[in-house]
Amino acid sequence: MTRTLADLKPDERAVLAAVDGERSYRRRLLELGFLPGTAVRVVRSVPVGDVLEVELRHSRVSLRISEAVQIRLADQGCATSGCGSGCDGSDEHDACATDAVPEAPRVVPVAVQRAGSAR
Amino acid sequence: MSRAVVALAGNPNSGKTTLFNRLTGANAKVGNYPGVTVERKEGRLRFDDGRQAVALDIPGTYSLSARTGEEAVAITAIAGLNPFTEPDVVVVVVDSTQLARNLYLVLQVLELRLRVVVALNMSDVIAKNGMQVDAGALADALGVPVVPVSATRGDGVEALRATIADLLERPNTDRSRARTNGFDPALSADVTAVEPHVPSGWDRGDPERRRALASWALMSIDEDDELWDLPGDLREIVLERQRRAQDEGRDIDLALAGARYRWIDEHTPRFMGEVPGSLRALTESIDKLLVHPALGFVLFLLVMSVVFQALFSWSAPLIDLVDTAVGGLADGVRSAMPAGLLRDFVVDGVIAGVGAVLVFLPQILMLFLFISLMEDSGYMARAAFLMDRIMKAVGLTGRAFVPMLSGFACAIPAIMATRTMERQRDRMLTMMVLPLTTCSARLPVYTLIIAALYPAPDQPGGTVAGFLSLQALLMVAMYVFGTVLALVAAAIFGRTIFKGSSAPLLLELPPYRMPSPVSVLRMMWTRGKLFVTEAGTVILSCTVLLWMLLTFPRDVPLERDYVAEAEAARASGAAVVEVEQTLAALVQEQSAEQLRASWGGRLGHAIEPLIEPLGFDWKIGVGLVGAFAAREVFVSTMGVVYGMGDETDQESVPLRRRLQDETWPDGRRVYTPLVGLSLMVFFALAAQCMSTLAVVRRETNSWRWPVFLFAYMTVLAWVFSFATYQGGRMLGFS
Repeated sequence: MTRTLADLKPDERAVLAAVDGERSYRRRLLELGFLPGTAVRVVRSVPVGDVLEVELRHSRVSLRISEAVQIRLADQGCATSGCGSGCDGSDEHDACATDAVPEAPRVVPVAVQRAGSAR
Repeated sequence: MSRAVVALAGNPNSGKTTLFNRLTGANAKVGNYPGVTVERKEGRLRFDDGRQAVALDIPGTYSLSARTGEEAVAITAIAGLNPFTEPDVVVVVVDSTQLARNLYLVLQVLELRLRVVVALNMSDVIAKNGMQVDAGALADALGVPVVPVSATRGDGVEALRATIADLLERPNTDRSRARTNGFDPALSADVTAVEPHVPSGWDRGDPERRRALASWALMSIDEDDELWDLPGDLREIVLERQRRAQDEGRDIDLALAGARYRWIDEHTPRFMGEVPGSLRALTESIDKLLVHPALGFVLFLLVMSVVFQALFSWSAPLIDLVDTAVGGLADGVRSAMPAGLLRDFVVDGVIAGVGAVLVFLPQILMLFLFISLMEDSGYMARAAFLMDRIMKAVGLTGRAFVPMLSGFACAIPAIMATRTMERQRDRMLTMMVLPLTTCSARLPVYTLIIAALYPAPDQPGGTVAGFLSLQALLMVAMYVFGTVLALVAAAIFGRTIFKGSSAPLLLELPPYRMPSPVSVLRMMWTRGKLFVTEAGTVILSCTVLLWMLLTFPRDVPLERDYVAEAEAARASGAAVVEVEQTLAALVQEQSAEQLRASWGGRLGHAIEPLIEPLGFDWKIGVGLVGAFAAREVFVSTMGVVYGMGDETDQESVPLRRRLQDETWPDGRRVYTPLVGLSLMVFFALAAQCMSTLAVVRRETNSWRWPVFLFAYMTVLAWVFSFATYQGGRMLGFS
């Protein structure tokens, strides 16, 4: 199953693959920078309140977790290796997926150790 | 020569309004944008050499592709489309801590070929955190001047002012250029196809600008946008190109947004240094508490209870003060003017009307003080998000939270607060249910009824479970009742009249900051002014009208000869005290009889059959007629109806006693606790506020919605009152 932004835990990082959903919402997300290939970090996730705060390009946006399922993530192989063009296209990361570790664990704190983490 | 126009644009939360106030001083005035009811702020910008310009505050927006009325105003004002004249300089205010996202709007503005200056706001915050933004390099990259400023501290404001003055000096041809190039061929073809349909007046003969507006149209227009005044052929060609792109598997929105972000990502390293761990360490620590899954809600409830506590107790002394002042004024005029119709008109019509308006100001200002504090500190966005779950369950969005909360003060500013909602459906739904929340005008009515008809805590039956005050419980129950009904109504309308889903929620949780007293006061002032100008004028004229209804006709034949009776009393030779009592009683009885014969009294009689099943007699009917102008008029009308004089208020003990003694012709008491409950239920639900209806009419630009609002609320009130009264009787209450 494709992972979505809603699956991320606080402080977890990932790379976006595609944004689905109705046009006006999708367009607003694109304008806020939710483009394929963009690195994101979840700042806060409050399932009780249906709130998810994400950071991308050092800017912050909060959205509903129930709506973040429309934002698909690139495979983790892409997030670490960046594996080229495969991550930029929205649906074309199959090639990339084959390079990735098969059956990767669901939650991997990819690149959390990178400098710049808040805490 | 007309004065130069300087427009301030920027993302929401970019500090645009603070900078606007810094630039213009305290002379900003609020008005409406031509053609649309979105607030506009205009101020005077003075330059060192004595010249002046008009500064225009444009609604905050993340991009120029418009969804809401506010965003449509942003694009038309920045681009200078009809009805706006083109601004001579556009200042784009940028939040340096969120630079990339803010640059998106900058790039869009540059494409429109204007004279632009970028104000790099919050430069103090990034400097403090050891982050570097090279303003010179950014200016080189953008091709327009960039001035670092701190709107909150005032740094750089003079440099910005000088830069604006300098831009105004430069030749008019010296304009911004698009930074993004390299649309792929397919997208270029789309833009080229749309170009000829851009209205000829829009491009000012500039082909680059025409191209920018064509790509704006491609991204903004869709089947259900809320843009008005667009030429039909432009709309058609855009929809056609979008369909074609979709068939070819292309994505116009992604291509356009992608092109701008590609530029941003490429150039950012040139002007932005390493970003330290966090620019918002403090905010993040506070949010750990305030947006905590459990604690967050507890703290939210705590904040709300403080707010409502203030609403009830803290504003009481101020309300008394207003009452006393208006009463004093009335007394002064009464003794200064000769008795007669004119004096009655001035005292009972005009002064009573002004008093009816002013008496609400303390509560309204108190609630808006808290709302302003919550907004200014940054907490409101969190509260909206915490409430979003509940709001969404009934078909509303978290964005409806602020309007609904404002509704507890007054529905009028609350309805205006719905303007920021991006979907018309959400806005209509909020507007239609918001008048059910318990506004401050219901309070005097509840107070009168509860105090007159239910035992106080020190009387038998005055407590529940031994320690809870019955009167206080009833009051709380009425507030809960109104709120629950508003939510239920939203759930029902959201599934019937306003089908569809609410807009997805995207919010920015701004960093916490100390609220500035000036801006809090400013917010209270603008909202309080809205109430006085919008509601005030209607309440005042309705009070005057009501006075006329209850006063005329005056020359009706009376059953008794009051003059002769008064003469007889004077001649009786009884003690002076007794004579005066008799005379006073005669005056009251005469005015009561005149009232019965007045137009208002006849109206009350006429509607008696309608309201009798609710337990109300014709006198309550007169009060209800009055209350349709404005709810609290009920109290003073009852004072007139029962000959108590018109200075009666909800604290009046004689009026309470009079209510308790009032009987039907067959000797039954009119005001029983059950009737009181039925009456409060009626007031909780009925649309008894002309001003609200007038504002809904204006905001929706149609008679349909105020009529609907009035009809459904009145029916709801009648049905619930009927159920309360008849149900209560069946259960054996009286």
